[in-house]
Amino acid sequence: MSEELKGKEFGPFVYIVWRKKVEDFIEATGDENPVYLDDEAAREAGYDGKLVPISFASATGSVALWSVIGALGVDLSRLLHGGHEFEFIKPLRDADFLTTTLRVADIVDKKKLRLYILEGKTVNAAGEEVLRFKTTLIERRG
Amino acid sequence: MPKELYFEDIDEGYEIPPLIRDITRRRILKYADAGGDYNPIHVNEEFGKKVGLGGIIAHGMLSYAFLVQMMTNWLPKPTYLKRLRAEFRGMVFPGDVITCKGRVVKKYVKDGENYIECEVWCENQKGEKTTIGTAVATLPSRGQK
Repeated sequence: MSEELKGKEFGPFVYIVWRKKVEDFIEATGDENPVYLDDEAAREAGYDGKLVPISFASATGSVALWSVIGALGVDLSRLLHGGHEFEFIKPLRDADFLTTTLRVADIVDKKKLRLYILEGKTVNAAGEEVLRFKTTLIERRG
Repeated sequence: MPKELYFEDIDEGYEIPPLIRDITRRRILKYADAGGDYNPIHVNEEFGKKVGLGGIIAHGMLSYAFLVQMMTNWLPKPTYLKRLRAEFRGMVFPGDVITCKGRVVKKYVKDGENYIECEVWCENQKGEKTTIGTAVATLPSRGQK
């Protein structure tokens, strides 16, 4: 039963920020802020080199999330993403080695839905926290 | 050159410049590539039809990324964005045109930092709100380094 999963922790999951994926992401989203593309523009804005798009955070957690979805035993045809929150603590950089851990914070049963609330955090190779997140998965039932 | 925008210039009710994005299959597939999220409802038309969605739908996190982008396009520095929470209310399909909008709803100072809180949302071409949320960012004061 998935209730037994409440409070369970998952991870650590490793993700390496690879520029090719960042380029796919920029093509998907059209997020062409010069500080993500050009070292010089980034330096003018006060950074020490180009950043990875802030919104790319969304692309780094999939492996972790899919592992948890597998453990929850949710039928994919009934799964929807209800919501998401990121706290952006430190910008991501190319070749960052990220480690994500997450836990099932709550499972809420409603009439025709079950909500899984997952919370987690991501740290870089130096052990610095870069992201915190909370995500809600919805399983349609009945 | 960094854009200039100061805490003193922004009042509650200030409207953030909107961001408009057309939803194409290519965008959805590229997003799947970037994040490794190949849930069949995002990449397999037949599967989407079978589960009653009429075809593929865009990732909720693609709309999330657009909201972040609207904020970071507007803020003088993208790292001024501190948090963004979004609820996915409606499905987004290929062929939709999504407009992200936002409005400053609160200004406050906490621990010596200037904060603004904004309500943010995505609308489709029918004016339906497909995503709603809240963003929190910091802004410098005039005269502050």
